[in-house]
Amino acid sequence: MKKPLKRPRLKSVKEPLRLDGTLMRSDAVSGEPRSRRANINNVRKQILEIRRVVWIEQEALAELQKSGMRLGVREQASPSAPAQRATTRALSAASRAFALIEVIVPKRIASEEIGDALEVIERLLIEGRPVWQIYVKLIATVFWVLAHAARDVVKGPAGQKTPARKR
Amino acid sequence: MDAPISAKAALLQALISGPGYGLDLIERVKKQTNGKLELGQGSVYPALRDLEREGFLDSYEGEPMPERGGRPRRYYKLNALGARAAMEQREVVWGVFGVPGLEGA
Repeated sequence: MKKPLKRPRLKSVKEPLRLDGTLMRSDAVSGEPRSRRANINNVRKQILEIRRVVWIEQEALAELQKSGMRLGVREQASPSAPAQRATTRALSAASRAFALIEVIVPKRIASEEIGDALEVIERLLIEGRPVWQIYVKLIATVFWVLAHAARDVVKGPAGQKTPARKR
Repeated sequence: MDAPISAKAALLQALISGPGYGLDLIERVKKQTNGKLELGQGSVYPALRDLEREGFLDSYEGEPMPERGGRPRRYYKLNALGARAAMEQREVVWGVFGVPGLEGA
């Protein structure tokens, strides 16, 4: 039985970081000059982002392997390797597209809407829906997330309360 | 034909039964209306954010979840103003559509 994937820590990196060809531990950063600290922190943020994206892809792959049993049953009747490859491609495209738009839209919208979309995609996979439905969901999500981000710019970010209308 | 009630009204009614997040609320509205009213991704999130801006809802983040790529769910719940608005709205809708036993109530 495969060990479950371990979620990467998102708040701190204790491992040595390679910067300008040198290895540096996070606890050594505090002794550095301010400008260098900013550089180190930037590199650290990038590493965290890369880890997060890789983790999303690993999760998607694990989901695919989980549903592999069902795909395996179908394989006995007809070879479904191309279908499996198409699903992997769709998941990979979804994780890349979501990671990309997450950079440009507010965090709240990204985590709420993209998170919900990923849950829907997972359900589609479990139900064994065709790959085109995953692409439709992906395109619709990208469209709506961008539209809602633009709307938030116009109306102000959510969470800022305006007086309730009289009813 | 247009939907009999707006997305905001439907969400307020769905939230009477307890806090929920976007996807869950879409399901709840669909179930409560026997599939007659199906909110889409394009309408539910702006409606929830508008209701929060207007002071009818409060929201909070749940725990990060692996199936969401480490992202948390955002739960919405009615506050006192929202609960009152939801109940008033329910009475208005019942009045308009004439729910038996409520005439003159």
